[in-house]
Amino acid sequence: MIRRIVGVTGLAAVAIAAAVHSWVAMPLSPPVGELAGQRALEYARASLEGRPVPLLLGDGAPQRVGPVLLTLYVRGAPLARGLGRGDTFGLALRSAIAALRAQLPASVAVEGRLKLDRVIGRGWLSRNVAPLFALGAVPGRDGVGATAGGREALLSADDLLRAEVWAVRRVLPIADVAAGLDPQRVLAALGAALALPRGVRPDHVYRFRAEEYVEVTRGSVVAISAALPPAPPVSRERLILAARAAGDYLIRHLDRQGRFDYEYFPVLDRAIGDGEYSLPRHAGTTSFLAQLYAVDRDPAVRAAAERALGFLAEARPAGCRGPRTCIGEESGALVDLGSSALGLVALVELERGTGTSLYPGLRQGLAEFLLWMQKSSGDFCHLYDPRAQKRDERTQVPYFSGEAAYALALLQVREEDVTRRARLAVAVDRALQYLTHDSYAHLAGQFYVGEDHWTCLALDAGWSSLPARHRERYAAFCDDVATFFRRSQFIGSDGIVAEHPQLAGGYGLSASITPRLAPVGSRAESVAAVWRLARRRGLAETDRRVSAPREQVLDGVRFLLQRQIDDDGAYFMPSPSAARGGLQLSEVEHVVRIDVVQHAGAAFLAALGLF
Amino acid sequence: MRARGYGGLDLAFAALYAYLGFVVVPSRSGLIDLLLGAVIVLLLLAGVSLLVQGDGGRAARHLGIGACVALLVFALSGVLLLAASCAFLLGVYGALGRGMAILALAAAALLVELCGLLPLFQLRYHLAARPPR
Repeated sequence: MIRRIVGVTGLAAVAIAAAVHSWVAMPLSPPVGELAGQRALEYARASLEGRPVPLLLGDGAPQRVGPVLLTLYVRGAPLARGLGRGDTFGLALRSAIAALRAQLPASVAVEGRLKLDRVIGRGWLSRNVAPLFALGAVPGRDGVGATAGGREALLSADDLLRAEVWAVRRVLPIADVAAGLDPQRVLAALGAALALPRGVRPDHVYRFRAEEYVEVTRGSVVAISAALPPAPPVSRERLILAARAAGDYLIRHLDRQGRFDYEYFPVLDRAIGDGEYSLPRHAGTTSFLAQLYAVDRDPAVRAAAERALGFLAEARPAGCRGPRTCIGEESGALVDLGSSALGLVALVELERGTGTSLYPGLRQGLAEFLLWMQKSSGDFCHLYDPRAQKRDERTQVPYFSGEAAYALALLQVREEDVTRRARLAVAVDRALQYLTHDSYAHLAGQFYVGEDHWTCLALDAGWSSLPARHRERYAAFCDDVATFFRRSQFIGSDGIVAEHPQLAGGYGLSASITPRLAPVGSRAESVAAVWRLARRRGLAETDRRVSAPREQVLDGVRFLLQRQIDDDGAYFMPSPSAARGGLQLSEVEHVVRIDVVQHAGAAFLAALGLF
Repeated sequence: MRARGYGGLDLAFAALYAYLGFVVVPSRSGLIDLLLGAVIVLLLLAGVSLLVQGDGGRAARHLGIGACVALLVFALSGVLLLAASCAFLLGVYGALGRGMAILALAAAALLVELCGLLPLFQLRYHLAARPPR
């Protein structure tokens, strides 16, 4: 009986899986390719402007899966769209051009940027089951279409990205993870496009995939995927430009008081700074500006870094102003370790870059605070009650211990007083002993590492003062950190990258969870430190501990370079100049937050050493 | 003797399901809570009666069969749904969905171990057992 139950269940599982797969899979027809896409947009523009049209490549390519969408973007918004059908690409394109022309006064076409979406795949999407609808399309890549009463409406992948309908709603009752499409808003938008009465659903919905081409500002055309232009080649010059662009973005988004626009929404051209504001992230961002100044010596960068640092220097609530200085919100009951640690990092970096002593008292006070917060184990207390002048010995917050170790290591290198320098060196050694060994001294700890990017930055910064017998052990841990990170990085040989090349270099699991950019930046910074550590140890260039981190960093910064907002990729942003240089949380979360820019910018600078 | 062994296992697994379903990963769905609660109560009753009545108890046998069938239906339905989820993820996301699909398969394997093996073996015992004294 057992055999029968197991056998029947197994067969049923295979049959159900095969049926579901064939039902939801979306076979793609061959693309016409970048050259034909480029020529098609040149053809469309010439046609719209009444000029002689060039020869259209791929004119006779079959176009049976779906229509061609030709959209004119003006100041970041789709001003008009022509939807063209036909048995061949050429027929569909001409039909789309005619439909677009009918909506435009002749002069407008010259101003905007044309985008071509050629539908090459069409797949099933559930109309009635919300979780299946939400998880039934690929973020950033798929559009959604619907039909009702013989009419059809399409929301392209760009339309869905602009509407901010990805990853905003909890789709399953068992998990607090916002993922997938927002069914209500998408169905409402489709209903409106089909002129359906409120609350009436379309007869049929489906997802579709398109090959996408857009005019760029230089007057040429690029193929894009998930609103991303192709990844640029990584070079020293390109990295410097990218770091400067990140710095310029931050300068534009820094107010007179030295406070950043914490979050900026490029699709809405709106900054939100009054709500949540993270002092540790402010401090980290300031440290990036300080690092940038050390590289390019731009007075505007220095002025911005000093202003942002001044904001931090003022952020000292009562109980944080004695010989032990800490940074925190005036209104907060507790002060966190991260703000003071990264505040010290920013101060030391800026003093190192400028060769001046900006806030000697603050530097000394912050160092005393960090040392006082260190426990006998080498770990740190993460919260402090300034009114009661009491450490919280229990609460643990991610990153803070590594940040404190890094701050002390940076300061120790710069400290001139021999006694204080020795005291700092001992503290850094104890912290690294805890972070690299003691905190993992259990069975599960032999199989994973946490977010230890600050730990490896601390080791790199404090290397010269650490006891020689400890260095190799700590460095071996950081080799493991890089290897562990690499396992979750999408690389060229992965099947995922073959299907979605734009994911190469990002870190993630899969499916509807799109890789976030901040971890890519922080890991690239850290792995660059691992690479430097391997070289310090005299390992050969061919050694995997040297070559693998190098490759890993290059993959990471390439991923970031492709996502840094520039005028080419900002075709659906109303103010490209405000967004330029910024980096968003992910491909589907259109928010530029300061720490994403910080980590990406610092990664660009860290990668300079590879060239 | 075997009946009492299965009775002990029924109680232990009922406690495990209650801990997992109501403490570790509690559901927001009242229906799921209700179904889980029913399975747990059935298992508890079967476990207690098997412990008390031993090999020859008629009520214990009937309750045991009922609990095993309920648990088996739950486990096999779960396996089929997870197989469908795995295919859905691969179908929609392609290679991008492979990691999540593997997790779905791992969950199915875990479900078989946690909820499928006990009722399978216990059902075989009950159906092959001698008529009650």
